Amino acid sequence: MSTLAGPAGTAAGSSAFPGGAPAAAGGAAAAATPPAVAAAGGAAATPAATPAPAAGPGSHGIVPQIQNVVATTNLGVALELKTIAMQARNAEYNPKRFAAVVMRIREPKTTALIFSSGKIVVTGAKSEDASKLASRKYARIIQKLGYAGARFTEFKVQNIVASCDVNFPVRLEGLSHGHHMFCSYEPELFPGLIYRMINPKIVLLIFVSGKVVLTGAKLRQEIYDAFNNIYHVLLQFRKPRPNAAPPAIAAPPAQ
Amino acid sequence: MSFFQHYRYSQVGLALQEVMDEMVEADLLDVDTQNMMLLQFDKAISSALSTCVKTKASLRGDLDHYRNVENIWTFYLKNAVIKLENVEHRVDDRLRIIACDGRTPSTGAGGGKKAKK
Repeated sequence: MSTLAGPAGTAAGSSAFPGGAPAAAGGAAAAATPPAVAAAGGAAATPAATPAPAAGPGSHGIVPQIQNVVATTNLGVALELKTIAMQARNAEYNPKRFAAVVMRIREPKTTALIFSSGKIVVTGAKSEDASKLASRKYARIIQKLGYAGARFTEFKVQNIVASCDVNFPVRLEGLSHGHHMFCSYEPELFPGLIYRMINPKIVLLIFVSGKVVLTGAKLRQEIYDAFNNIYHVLLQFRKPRPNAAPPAIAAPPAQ
Repeated sequence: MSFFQHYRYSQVGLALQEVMDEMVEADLLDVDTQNMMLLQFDKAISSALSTCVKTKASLRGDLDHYRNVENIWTFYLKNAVIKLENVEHRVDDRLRIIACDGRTPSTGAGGGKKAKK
């Protein structure tokens, strides 16, 4: 915590920062304040505060857009991959390189990895429903290829990826110091800051531009909760825009 | 020294086989020699197509579907137009393209493309 106190003192003009640190600690489930309470405290300051900051868009009105859903299904039958690859359309099978048939459909636009065990991984869907529909379609294709025993079972969403833009630049250096227990920021290796939130257990990639990628969710709500948590943190590490600086300098002579 | 045998089903390959079949029937050629010649043909047409053909061709179409099994790609195109020396050939039916790796594992020559209505 001593390293946490250091940047807090040096964080220029960020008097709100000490208030932000407990919110992060709450995220770690270490402090008594749960993140939802901290988020509500932040939201109360804005006029549009509603009693449900954790549901969907918070007071910021930004909704993370889901970009990818990965799900698995088990058809319950062993498959002969080569015959599937030769009969099905839009199929790729090269057993020397990868032990699964790669199949694609156009609607919902997705890619499936079909394994000889009968398990299927569907990626690329833009929502959980689309992922389920696509998985059903792949199961149906396998059925039509002569596997009458193939059933659509054990459908499970394994990962949801979402992205959004907070519409202001972020001081990643300050964030990585202030929240060092969650952050990994190596600009020489990768320009984004990797923020491993504990509750909900989500990994966020945060970029200087204010663009945020959230991943690791099994449920959509985890994405929304994680974004609400991080938004209030990012506000404290807002970087003044370069084009916003001239008016601030020009202002004193005018007064 | 193995080559893809798909050029045997091109116009020139079919013509060669037809003539050779006639010669075998007339006892002018034995089957072993015929097979040897066909293997030679596989090799010769691969190198001929890669070295002797200077004509530029272009191809446009809408991909209907594709398939890739063990590195042999098959593409089915709708509304395909083949342009050979600025003469357009429109394919009314679905155009099928079979494409294999230009470098066969053993030789580094051969392979290529074949289009079929």
